[in-house]
Amino acid sequence: MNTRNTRNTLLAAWPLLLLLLAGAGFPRTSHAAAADDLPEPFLFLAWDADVGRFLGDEADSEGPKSFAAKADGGLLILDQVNLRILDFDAAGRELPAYALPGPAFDDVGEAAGRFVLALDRLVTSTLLVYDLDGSIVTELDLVGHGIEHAGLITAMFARTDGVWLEVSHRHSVRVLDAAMGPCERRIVLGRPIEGGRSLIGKLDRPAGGATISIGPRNAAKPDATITIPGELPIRRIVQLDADAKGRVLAVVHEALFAGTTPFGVLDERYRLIRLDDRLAELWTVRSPWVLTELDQRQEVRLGPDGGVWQMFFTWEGVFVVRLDGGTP
Amino acid sequence: MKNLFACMMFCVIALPSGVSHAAPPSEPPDAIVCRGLSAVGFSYWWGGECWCSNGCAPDLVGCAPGVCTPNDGSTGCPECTHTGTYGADCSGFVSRAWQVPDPLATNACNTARYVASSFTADHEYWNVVPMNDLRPADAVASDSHVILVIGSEDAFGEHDCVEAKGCSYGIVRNSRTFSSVYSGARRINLTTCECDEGGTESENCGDCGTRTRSCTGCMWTGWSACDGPDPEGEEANCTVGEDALGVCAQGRQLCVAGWLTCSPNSPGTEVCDGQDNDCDGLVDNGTAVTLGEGYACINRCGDGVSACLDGAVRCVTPGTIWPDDTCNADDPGDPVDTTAGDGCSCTVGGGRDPGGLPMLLPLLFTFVLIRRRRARR
Repeated sequence: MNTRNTRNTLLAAWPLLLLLLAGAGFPRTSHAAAADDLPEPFLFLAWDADVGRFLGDEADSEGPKSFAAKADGGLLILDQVNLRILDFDAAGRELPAYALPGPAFDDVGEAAGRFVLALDRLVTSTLLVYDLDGSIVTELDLVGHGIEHAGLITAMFARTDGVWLEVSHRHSVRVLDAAMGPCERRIVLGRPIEGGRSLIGKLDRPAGGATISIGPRNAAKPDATITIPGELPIRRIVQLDADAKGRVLAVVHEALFAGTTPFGVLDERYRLIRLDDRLAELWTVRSPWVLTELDQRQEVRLGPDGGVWQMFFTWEGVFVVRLDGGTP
Repeated sequence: MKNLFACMMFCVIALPSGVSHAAPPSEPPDAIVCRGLSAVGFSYWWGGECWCSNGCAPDLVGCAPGVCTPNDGSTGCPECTHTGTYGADCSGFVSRAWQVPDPLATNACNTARYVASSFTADHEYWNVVPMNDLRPADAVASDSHVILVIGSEDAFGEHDCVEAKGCSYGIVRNSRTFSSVYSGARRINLTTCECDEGGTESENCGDCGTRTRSCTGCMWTGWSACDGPDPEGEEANCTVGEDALGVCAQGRQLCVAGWLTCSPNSPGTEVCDGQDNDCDGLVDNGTAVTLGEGYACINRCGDGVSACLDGAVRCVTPGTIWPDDTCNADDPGDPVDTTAGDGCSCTVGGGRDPGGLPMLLPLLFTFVLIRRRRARR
């Protein structure tokens, strides 16, 4: 079987899939935005011409593995195949890129509006910090107190008190202080957010929902907990984060699989739920764009201004859209 | 063309006609997980399927891992060059970890194996399983890639996996998710009873934790989350350091997710206790309400007003040598009498004209302010 043709066929089916999803009419709540209110893309990058991809042959396939929303309203796109981090301003204009020393970086971030972070979990096990001139100012070995296997790092967060790395979606380790220097490693359960608080997420098995808690870091009891029921069974928590004001974003992957072999997927989508700092729902939006065969570590990001961004792939290239149009 | 070449090559290697293969050995899932972990660190070798192991660990000293280099203009294999004796591609790695089509030592090279797409359909050596029922030792496959699952689903729905990811990566262990193009597969001949029903076992993790698993239905459950008790007594105190101020510079040692960490005290309401409760670098600088100041009170000298002085709320009355000293109920010494040395001449129970209190209040506040500033210095 020609696997490349198969993949291309799958990717080429995306526009048709979008039409089908829009026509199917998702179940909605009164305050929910609809997936068929498709936003204009903020950014489009054509495969190979603008951004690299790798179509695996007895190996993993990959597109840009991560992206980040910058404090100035622009974006960083991790183009690891081409050994660079693409930089765009708030108007989508391309700025000089940051050079990567290797091809295995799989996460990117911005800290304090003046540092760029690049994480390589799998080969060099290092975190690089660039200044805005593109010079590497810190190179940190990931393995140490709180991190036994760098490959089990599941997220990276830049907060006002430094940079945190999450391990196995269970605990987070502060590895850099606010000045981007190595520091005594501090550990909290869940994901640290501003204000000395943290978020903890957990899939509800076998119910098919997800539970989110918020409270002081390492507190015995959270301040608030909610259970998000799945409209379809929730397969994965795609993102869980909070902005500087404490408002939470939870993104879940809902998928329904056939009950008989080969157990193929029947329906799937992402549901993005915005919550206030006490976990009361603000709004919900559904996105038809889900993970493709091209490996991608970060698909949805919460920007410093509270904006919600999604990066997704089609057979044409990479799209980045802002799904909220502004924070309510 | 590349894939056609791949298919021809692997078909010949994997399925030679007329050659019979031994069924995979009867073994527990842990044995497959162990074999998979023993490959981590070896190179990606397109068409390869061998590495050296030392128990569940890779033997990277006795057998040097090879090096995979993409050819000029290529982003991956098969347009790549491999040097060295050992390494594997994704399907060679899973074939050997699963011991299919033949049970062979991990360091046996140039042997029969399957391609990734083989694992997407039922086979005499494995069965397709739902993606929401993945267990350690299962494989997850697409037409072009196959991955070995070594851990149970985590809180977000990802799995701990080992995979020969590609030329730039080699064989790696990582937490990852799978798109819906992947399907699950479970090898046959997994030992159906690998433990005594109801049994438990535990192991240390992190630097203060343990994790446990129990035997249910003849199979080990996944390991519990790593956790442990918080230190107690003297060991529980810790200093946060850095630029933390006030009570936030001190903390309590906790065992979080199996790791010891100094959890700083949180900033709180500034009260009158001689400490910097809100961590702003100043002691007892709250509001009159939080400090308990400004309330009318009676002390041994008579009417007074509450004020935060030297880390305690006191009932103060300006004395004769005011504002350098005050008459208050907390003065050390004779519990009954107060003297002119205390700043006023009065006796316990002695009173002053209460009508004078309103006139005294502005002076008292000024006095308290001066005292508090002095206390900070």
